[in-house]
Amino acid sequence: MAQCWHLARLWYRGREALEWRRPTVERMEAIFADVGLAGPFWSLK
Amino acid sequence: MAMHREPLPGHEDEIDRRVRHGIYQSFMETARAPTAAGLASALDLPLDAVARSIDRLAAAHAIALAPGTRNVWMAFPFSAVPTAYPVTTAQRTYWANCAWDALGVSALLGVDAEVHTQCADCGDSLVFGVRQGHVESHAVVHFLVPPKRFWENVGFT
Repeated sequence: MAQCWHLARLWYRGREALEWRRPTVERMEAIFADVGLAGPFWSLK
Repeated sequence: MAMHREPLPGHEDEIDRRVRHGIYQSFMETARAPTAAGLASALDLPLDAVARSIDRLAAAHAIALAPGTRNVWMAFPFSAVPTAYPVTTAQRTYWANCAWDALGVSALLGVDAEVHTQCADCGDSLVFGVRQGHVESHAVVHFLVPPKRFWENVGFT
């Protein structure tokens, strides 16, 4: 759950902002890696 | 009747940013999705321009629409319809699409929140929440669908 909270903060903080842009696939994968989510399940390619 | 100037070609990106922002503002302030007409009024845009923008946002997976409609179903982490993940803050209760999104509501709003749900495995009551920036639960979040397949059936996901 703590890991998911870390993921949620990186993923959703600032999502509501007018200037928010969809992150790149690379950025999304980097977020997963930052949180410790690795392996084929978490690959976006 | 309010008169609106038809948006110039090439301004779709700007309109989409404003409409997406308006959708999020509605969820944040009311826990409800806006209607296209409500957005058009709030943003001072023609209704058909807002409708086309909603379609583009849905096509880009920025939002999800209720099937066969132009009604906003999800603007992640928010759900427009009741789910198994009600997120209660000091202000109001929001609906989240899943456990990740339930934590996402707290993260996006920057406030403490509590979630009362049920374990998807055994059905037992399950409470988790965020207090002063820390999560309070020893529960495990299980992801059944890999992220690259989320949009194959976003409702199931």
